[in-house]
Amino acid sequence: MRKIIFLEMLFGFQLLGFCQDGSLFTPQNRKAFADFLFCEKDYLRASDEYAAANTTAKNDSVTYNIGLCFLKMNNFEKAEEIFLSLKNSSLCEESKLLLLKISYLQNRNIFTHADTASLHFENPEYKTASRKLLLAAQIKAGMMNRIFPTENILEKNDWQALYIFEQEFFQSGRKSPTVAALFSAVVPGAGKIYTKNYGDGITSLLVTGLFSFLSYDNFNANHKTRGWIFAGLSAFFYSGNIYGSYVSARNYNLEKEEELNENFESYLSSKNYFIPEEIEEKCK
Amino acid sequence: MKCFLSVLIFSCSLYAQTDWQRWQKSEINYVVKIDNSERSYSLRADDPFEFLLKTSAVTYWFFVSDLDGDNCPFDPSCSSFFLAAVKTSNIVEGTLMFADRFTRDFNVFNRNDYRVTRFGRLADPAEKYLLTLSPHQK
Amino acid sequence: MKARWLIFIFALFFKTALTQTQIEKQLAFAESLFTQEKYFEAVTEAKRVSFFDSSHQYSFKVNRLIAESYRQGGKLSEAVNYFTKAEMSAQNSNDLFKTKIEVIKINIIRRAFSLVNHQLDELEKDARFASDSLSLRYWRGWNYLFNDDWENAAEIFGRIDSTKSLKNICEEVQKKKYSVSFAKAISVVLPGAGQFYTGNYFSGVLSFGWNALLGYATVKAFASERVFDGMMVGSLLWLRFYNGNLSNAEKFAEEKNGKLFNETLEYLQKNYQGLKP
Repeated sequence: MRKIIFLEMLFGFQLLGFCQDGSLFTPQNRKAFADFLFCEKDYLRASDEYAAANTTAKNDSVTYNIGLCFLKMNNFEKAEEIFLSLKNSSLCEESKLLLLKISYLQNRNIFTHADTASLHFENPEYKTASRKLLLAAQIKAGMMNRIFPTENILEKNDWQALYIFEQEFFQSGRKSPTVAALFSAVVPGAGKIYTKNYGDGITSLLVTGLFSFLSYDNFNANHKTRGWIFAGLSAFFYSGNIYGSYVSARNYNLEKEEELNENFESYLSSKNYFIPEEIEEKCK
Repeated sequence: MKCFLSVLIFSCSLYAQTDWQRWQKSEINYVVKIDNSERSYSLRADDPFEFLLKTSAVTYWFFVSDLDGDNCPFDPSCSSFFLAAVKTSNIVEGTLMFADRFTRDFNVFNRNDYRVTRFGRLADPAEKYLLTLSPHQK
Repeated sequence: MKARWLIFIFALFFKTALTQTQIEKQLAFAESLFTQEKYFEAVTEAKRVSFFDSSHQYSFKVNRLIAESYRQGGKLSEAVNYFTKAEMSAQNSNDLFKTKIEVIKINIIRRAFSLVNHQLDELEKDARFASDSLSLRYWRGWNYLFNDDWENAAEIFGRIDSTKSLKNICEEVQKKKYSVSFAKAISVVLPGAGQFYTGNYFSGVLSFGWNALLGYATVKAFASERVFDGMMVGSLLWLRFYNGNLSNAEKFAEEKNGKLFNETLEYLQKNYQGLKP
């Protein structure tokens, strides 16, 4: 009985001892707080707390979390620096995959600059993810004509979606600025109608036509001064219409490209760039 | 109550974005200044030709444009567009851009390809119509 | 047996007491950072308190501290968010009322006129705050003031003894304001008169000149039976300048009123010593 009491007093004092040393700023407590901040999306504070937790004894998973924080804040430079430092750690494969994602997001040509080491993955899931991301980068750069070889790494829906994007990147109904200008030279406003600016096209036609008619009418009525004024205005609007049609076709193509890029990025983002969610999401 | 709480929690995670950069004390200002004038009446110019253009524009604004009301649906207005067009390209290209802009100003049918600015005008900057765009403009 | 239980309870109590002391120390640390104007760090340390305070005993104080820090940093949306959280953990009606007033003050600055009125109405209906009606009236006055409604603001401040100076300021501003409708009305009758009324004399003269010239040209064209010319000059030119004259009268009156509004707000922010948002 006395032994039991003695043991339990010892246990009690050990608890006491723990309490006196266990302040809120121990590495474990800081890490727990950092995890909480990470889940609250308060990434800057979380990164500070993880860094503080790492000062006494460096921990690869804590360093990895710091990298995740910077990645979430789109601070790619710092995230890259951290993941590069983990290349020889236990989280090497996850880091390599996220480095690939960062390279894609920074519009680098990952298929030309990536060396074989950075594309080599032991984990089959990560290997598939890297091949999918590479494929997306190739489609965006317009390097693909057919994507048969990769059909087996994608589900059918993804394969179909990527195939459509690939077709659109490759050809996509673009308008020729020269053709638009020529159309407008022949019929004022026709070039704008060709680029689907119907209102502007009809306006061009009406305005150029009106001033041309006024010029003709005034010359017929022997009002030479007015005739030349209206002729000058007619020439002014006619040349503006040709220039405007050329630029309109160019802008049409740029807008189409921008829309396509946005849709493609939106699609990839919805798939988390094919990166398995569990390597980026630490919260449930 | 549950709905309110979930909105509050969701908005907490949105608000966390504001703390992705360190911030300092910032004095709250009662006065909110909104400047919707896109015209600069300054005659400062880099060369005599630009000075001549600006003088003509300012004269036009002062004696005509400021008196006939706000008729231009675009931002910048046609005269400001012309100044910007000539400044960023040359007189010939600038004049062609202006002619095109003036035609589009006459369009009474449909104008739905423009972004609407906070003052209700249609955003139509001159740089969008240059023959050669910089990579940034693309 | 009893002794074992006693020891166990003693150890548990001591651990809890120590943790509570740590949390109190941490909260004091967060408050000291706030005093030193290190608001970002104050929010971090306050969040730490919140995380370790499993019993939520300090929720109200922590949320208030975070909200105040955000307000000092000019981050009003976040401040409102945390004041609202503080409301939910308020422990008495006095704390609840003070926190609700902080939210109202921020919404006044954000010019959320209808929302503030609604919030004040809700507080007036609440029987717990029946004794605070004077305070609610005071903030309603400020709400009208920030909404550029000086007449109503003067009327409200006039009913509170301690705010005669505010009432006088509001009445003075109301007197100095230009009437937009009057400016437009006199411009309808005499082009340029509205601009004269608002002190833009040169613009008024030019406007009158253009309207007179184009009006004369139009009448002369019709008189000489050049109907088409008369219609073109009348509709494309004279009407354009006439409408321009009306819109300028309105615009100048609004600009002058806007300038007066901003100057008064700036004056109140810098010089008024009483309670303000």
